[in-house]
Amino acid sequence: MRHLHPFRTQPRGHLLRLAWLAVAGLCVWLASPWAHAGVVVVAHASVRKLDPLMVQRIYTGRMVEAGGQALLPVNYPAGNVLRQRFLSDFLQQDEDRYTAYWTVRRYVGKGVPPRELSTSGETILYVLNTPGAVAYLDESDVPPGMNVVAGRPAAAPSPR
Amino acid sequence: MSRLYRTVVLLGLTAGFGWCAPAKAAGSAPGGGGLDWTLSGFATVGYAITDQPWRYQRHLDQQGTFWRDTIVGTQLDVRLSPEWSGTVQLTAAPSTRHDRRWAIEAAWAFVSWRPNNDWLLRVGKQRVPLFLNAENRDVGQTYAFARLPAEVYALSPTTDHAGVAVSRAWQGEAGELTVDAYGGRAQIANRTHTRDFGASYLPVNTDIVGLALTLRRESLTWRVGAHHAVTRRADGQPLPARYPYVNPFPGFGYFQVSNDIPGPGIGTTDRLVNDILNVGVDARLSTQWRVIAELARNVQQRTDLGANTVGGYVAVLHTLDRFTPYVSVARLQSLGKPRRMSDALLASGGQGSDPLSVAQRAAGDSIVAYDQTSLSLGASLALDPRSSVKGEWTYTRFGKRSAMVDDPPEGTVSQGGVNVLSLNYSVVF
Repeated sequence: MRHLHPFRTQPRGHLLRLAWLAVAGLCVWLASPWAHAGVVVVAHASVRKLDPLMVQRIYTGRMVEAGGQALLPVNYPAGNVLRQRFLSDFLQQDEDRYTAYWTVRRYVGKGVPPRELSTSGETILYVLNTPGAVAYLDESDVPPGMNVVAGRPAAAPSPR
Repeated sequence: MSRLYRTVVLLGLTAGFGWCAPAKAAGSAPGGGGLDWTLSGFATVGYAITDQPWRYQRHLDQQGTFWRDTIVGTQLDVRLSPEWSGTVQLTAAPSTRHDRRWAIEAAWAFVSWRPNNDWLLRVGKQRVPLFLNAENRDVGQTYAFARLPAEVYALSPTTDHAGVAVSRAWQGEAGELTVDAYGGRAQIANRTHTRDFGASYLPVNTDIVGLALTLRRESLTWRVGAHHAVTRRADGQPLPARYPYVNPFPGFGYFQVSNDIPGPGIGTTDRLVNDILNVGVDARLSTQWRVIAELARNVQQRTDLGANTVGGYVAVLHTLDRFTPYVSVARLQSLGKPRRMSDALLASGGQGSDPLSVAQRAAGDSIVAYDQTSLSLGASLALDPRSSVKGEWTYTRFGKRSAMVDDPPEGTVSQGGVNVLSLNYSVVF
């Protein structure tokens, strides 16, 4: 019986193995953008649960407090992959639109965009130590005991 | 040579600011909850040229100029606490008090108190929330037009005021509804140009109060406003309000435009009153098509010599990825007594060089009367989210006359037109 398994060394087996690996690698590469855990919104212990619309309003500067607690949202810098996923999942926006939104808002005198922190480590420290802090993390990066206030919206809120 | 030098320096500075975008500054106090500041900036380098020797909108002529649209600004936002913040915006731009000088001015300097999601109180120097782009008019990157339609944006008695503004927002299913109520004073200079004496600037104080109602949805913005402005001369002197017609004998008459000229005495007023009503809409009809329209009525009271106007424009924009071509039509028209008075004075003055004729013409030129229609074709190309290049061709047709034209000594620019070509580079950093 002739075996066609690609990992079996046969005549031209090396070529087949390479081809198989290439296809598998391509599949992994193509699937990588979806191969992450979800983005979740985390906050200081002083912040209660948030719904997706509240998250949207917090990150567009239209909601500055919840239940009497002043909110201090933080972002990752423009171009960060997690930020792009967050903008897409929670705000239904891309980087260009979000930047344009805050450019207008800043220059009509209605505030400045959220503070930016570079790494998830910095973000976790900031959230743990700052009352009212709101941030987002990859679900796999959330440390035990962190206050997760919103998960990825099941149905996207209509942007407004 | 010095003009070329200034141009090169200006272009270099602006391009440098654009390239240095990542260098924008921000800082915060340890702990995250205290003092927090960001420094940002914006710039537009705009060149425009017309096909006429006389000046239009103060600076535009066939020599070409960077003076009409060029501006550089920087803004410092400081968050003092979660509720309190301060904003200062400095701009360097052609002066609003001289024709050929640049000025660095504090366009904004206000303190904000935002106790919760719905209320915002601001005290200090800030923008009048009149038209759709009134607050951000200096920041070219925030709108697609190469130049905001002067037929509407020139109607505002003042762009800024030093005073108080209160905003109340309601957020609901229909979007965000905001009411802005404000009141304050602007110390500005009103420019008039007469063909015989050139440009002059009269310092005035304008007290303005108003209310603007803005509804913002994802694809639709409405703004409706009512504003009341009272303007007095800064030196407390009265303003001319009426010129009586003097007919000393049959076949000869004139308007008494000064108390140095024989007659019963000119009518004066201690203040001019403007009531402005405006409506604007910015609608995204689809992902690619957008319509913007604004209409404003400025009713001037207590004078026959003021700007009693109606202005509006409609623009259609088509977005093709980073490229946004647009077309707009705008009209500005003076109504009632000021228009008739201007016509009568200019007819009375004619082309005579005697002092009485010169005085009649100067008085006629001083009345802020408009009769003009503009057609614009332009496009904006977004280089990235923070910078864009815009080009525009505008043809403006004048009826009887327009106070936006510096009439040449040869006569009133009437029943004529001007082509304006503009090229801008705008950046925020």
